[in-house]
Amino acid sequence: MKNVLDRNRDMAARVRDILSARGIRMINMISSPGAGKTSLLEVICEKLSGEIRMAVIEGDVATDRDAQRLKKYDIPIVLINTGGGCHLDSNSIDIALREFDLHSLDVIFVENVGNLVCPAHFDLGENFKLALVSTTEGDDKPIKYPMLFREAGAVVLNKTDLMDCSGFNRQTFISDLDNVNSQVPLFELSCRTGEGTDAFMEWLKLSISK
Amino acid sequence: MHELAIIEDMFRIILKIADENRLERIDRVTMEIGEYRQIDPSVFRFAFEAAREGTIASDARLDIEFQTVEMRCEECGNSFSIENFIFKCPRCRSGDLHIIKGMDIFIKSIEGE
Ligand SMILES: Nc1nc2c(ncn2[C@@H]2O[C@H](COP(=O)(O)OP(=O)(O)OP(=O)(O)O)[C@@H](O)[C@H]2O)c(=O)[nH]1
Ligand SMILES: [Mg+2]
Ligand SMILES: [Zn+2]
Repeated sequence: MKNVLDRNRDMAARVRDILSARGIRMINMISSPGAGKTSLLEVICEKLSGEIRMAVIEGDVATDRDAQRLKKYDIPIVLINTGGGCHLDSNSIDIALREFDLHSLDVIFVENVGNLVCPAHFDLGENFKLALVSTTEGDDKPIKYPMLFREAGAVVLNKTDLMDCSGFNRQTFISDLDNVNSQVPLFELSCRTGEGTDAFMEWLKLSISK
Repeated sequence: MHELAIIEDMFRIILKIADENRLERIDRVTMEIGEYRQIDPSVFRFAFEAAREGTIASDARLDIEFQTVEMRCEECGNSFSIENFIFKCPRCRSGDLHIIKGMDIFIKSIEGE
């Protein structure tokens, strides 16, 4: 029997080999549109670009808006326009990697296309998937989109500054997340106010240096 | 919507297999799809019907067999199927699980002549 997922998986394994041979980590950021992937990248650039050599692969359906937002941090950025495609695949990452100088990088962040379903099923060769969800989307995301939260190596709950006014039930969220993935670390933060971001950065630095 | 990308890769494979086996026409394709992959059968069928046009599978029938997700508990060794996407061992409540079935998308068989 032929596994249809093999093609993407084989290329992901190749990407993983290329990166691990050079000691580079890759983090695949996945969320719905507007949860705050680019905002979190801005915070990461502000706080860590002085001590960690980072690059970004921006997956965007059609524009270069997010890449433009990150330009001021003076880090290498490669834009992949999926032309309507709902997720990045490992082949597009393999091509994007050719644009970087891989001798001078510690970590590559991939901002996947805004979508809670499809990106969860395509291994890009990352070290782990970072699932982002924001309080304004509702507390039911882990149970409605279980595979992303199951696949995630870490979960960020963003926009904690809006938790009260959006009626987000934190207990429901945490217990649903526990049912889907009881082992995943959760970071609650606000890219707007900065609350909770220091703890996340500490964890991120550790996971990059490992 | 990942159904589209999966159908694309699936067609690459079935057309190659048909070519290797000198089939002039594909009549039926049977897929075995793990429920972990969240494939919507109606979207999958729609994508199949779009992709088969103009190929030797243009009249092919698509059969889908879904496979439930099975896990093994690392704590107590219990094997069980996942229900309602609750990833907890029903025997010991541990969340330390290992997937053993239901995450693949297999082309089970191709019929034609
Ligand atoms: N109040 C508040 N707003 C935030 C926070 N984080 C991000 N936002 C706002 O949410 C909006 C969307 O944020 P982005 O970072 O563009 O989200 P994204 O996930 O990159 O979106 P796509 O790339 O379109 O999928 C922007 O207007 C941000 O300013 C936060 O912690 N609190
Ligand atoms: Mg963005
Ligand atoms: Zn058990």
